[in-house]
Amino acid sequence: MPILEHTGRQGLDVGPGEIVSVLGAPGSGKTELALELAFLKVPSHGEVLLRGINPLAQRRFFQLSSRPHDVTLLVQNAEDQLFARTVYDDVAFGPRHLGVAEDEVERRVIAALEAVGLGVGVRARSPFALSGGERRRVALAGVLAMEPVVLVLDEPTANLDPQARNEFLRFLAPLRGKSAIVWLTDSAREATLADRIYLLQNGMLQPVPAREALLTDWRRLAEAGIELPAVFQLARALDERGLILPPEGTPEAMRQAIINAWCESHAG
Amino acid sequence: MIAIEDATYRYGPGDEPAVRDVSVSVAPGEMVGIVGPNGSGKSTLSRLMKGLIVPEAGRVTVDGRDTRDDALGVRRLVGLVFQNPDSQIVNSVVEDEVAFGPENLGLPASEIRRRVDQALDTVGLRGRERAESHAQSMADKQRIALAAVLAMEPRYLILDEPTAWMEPAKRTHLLERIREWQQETGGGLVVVTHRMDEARACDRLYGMLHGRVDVEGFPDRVLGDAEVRRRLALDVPEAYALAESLRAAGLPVQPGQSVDVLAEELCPS
Ligand SMILES: Nc1ncnc2c1ncn2[C@@H]1O[C@H](COP(=O)(O)OP(=O)(O)OP(=O)(O)O)[C@@H](O)[C@H]1O
Ligand SMILES: [Mg+2]
Repeated sequence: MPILEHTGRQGLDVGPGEIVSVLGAPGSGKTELALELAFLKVPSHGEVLLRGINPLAQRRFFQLSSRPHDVTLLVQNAEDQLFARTVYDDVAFGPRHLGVAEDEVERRVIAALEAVGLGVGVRARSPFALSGGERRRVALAGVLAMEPVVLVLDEPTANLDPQARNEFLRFLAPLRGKSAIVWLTDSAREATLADRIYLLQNGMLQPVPAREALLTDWRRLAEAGIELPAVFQLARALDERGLILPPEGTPEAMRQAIINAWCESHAG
Repeated sequence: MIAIEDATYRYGPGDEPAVRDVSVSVAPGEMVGIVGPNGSGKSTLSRLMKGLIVPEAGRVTVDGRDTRDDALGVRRLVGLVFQNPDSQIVNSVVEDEVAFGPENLGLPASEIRRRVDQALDTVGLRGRERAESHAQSMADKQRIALAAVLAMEPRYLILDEPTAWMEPAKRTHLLERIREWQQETGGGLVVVTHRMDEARACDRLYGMLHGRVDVEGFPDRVLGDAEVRRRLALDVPEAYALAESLRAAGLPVQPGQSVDVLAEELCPS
């Protein structure tokens, strides 16, 4: 049984230990979906179920204080919401708030800071005395240290340098295999790092069956406003210039198709 | 010209320098890119150039004005758009936000109107004058912040990861509009970015590492060097790798081009 399920928008589910990505262009409704999944907003269609139950259903009024603590959201501008005196206290705030014992808090904070690539040297620093990317890493460490049952990440790689972006799964190491993670992104390249992918278009979700298959439907993605890998961008540009290319294929297949089509059109 | 000469800066007395012995120049009409890992000193350079902070050693001048002696003069010449749009917007109506700076300069109403219209035009927000600025998406807040800076008609424009929240097509389009702004005004442009395609579009790049200028040169040289990329935590622009593989297969493409140029080389229109 999935741990978290959205029954509206054509549906989404995620199981323990699983990472699913939601791929959508800006303006496709990612942030709204993230709020719904984290019980911060009542869905306009369907409901969100945690372990098969809608925790908001019994309540007559929507109250932030009554939302389940098992689900944690990293908001889009999370680096602006750091507030504690030190980086350590900021990352420790979540687990302390949950009543975690102090030695366990310490273990989690250290593990989380390590996972996001911040040395222990920053522990005593003020979170305001950091670069943009470093603040984003602290914010991320804060949600990791909570060890939530479900973690929802809204565009978590903004402000990270390219290497961190490519290795983002390593940042999630403390939760891997335990928490269910929903990762909302506008990058096809990032989305393919997840176990499963949903495409979000005009607020509606569509599962993309296999990772490879995501890239097979490149026209659909481009129309949804998603940045394609370079080979598909080139395929689109050549298609517009009249070169005959297959409608789908993996990046490698498409690269080969471009070479073949070009050679054919220049033969003789 | 903006000139940072052998500058060292630390945020607190006991801190490691955030930048040390850095020299950077930006000429009018030039688009200079700054790349490098998180925490390498890129935003610190932006703040030095804008005169928000002054170096403890070395100096920073903008068209001959030293930021130590004439911080106000420098701040008029240099516009800076930060990473984070939320912290930059103070007015709740879009056009008020954009008019705010020119109004403080005491400009006549007609001139303010002209500048606001033009700035909103450049960033693609014409028609949204009366919108509520804090209710906009991150991407649109970034445009508002940019328009507010453009309305000050700076001689130099520094964009510190200005497009982080924008979708690719809009990002490219906005940078093109800023390039046009630059060509019309002859201004200097500095772009701090983690996006290799933006870096590639610059005239010249500085690669920062641990507070020092690690490498400086044409984008092709900097980004084309695998050792530099590894050291600075950079990506290969995807189009580079693609061009190389097509070239290896015998197709007539030059290395180091954008996808659009590749398409033109393969199928001239
Ligand atoms: N306000 C501050 N007070 C103290 N130290 C700071 C402050 N801002 C940045 N630093 C430190 O100075 C160094 C350079 O930071 P800077 O913001 O210039 O990096 P950056 O290259 O812009 O990084 P990013 O890609 O994450 O934005 C980092 O070690 C950072 O921790
Ligand atoms: Mg920065």
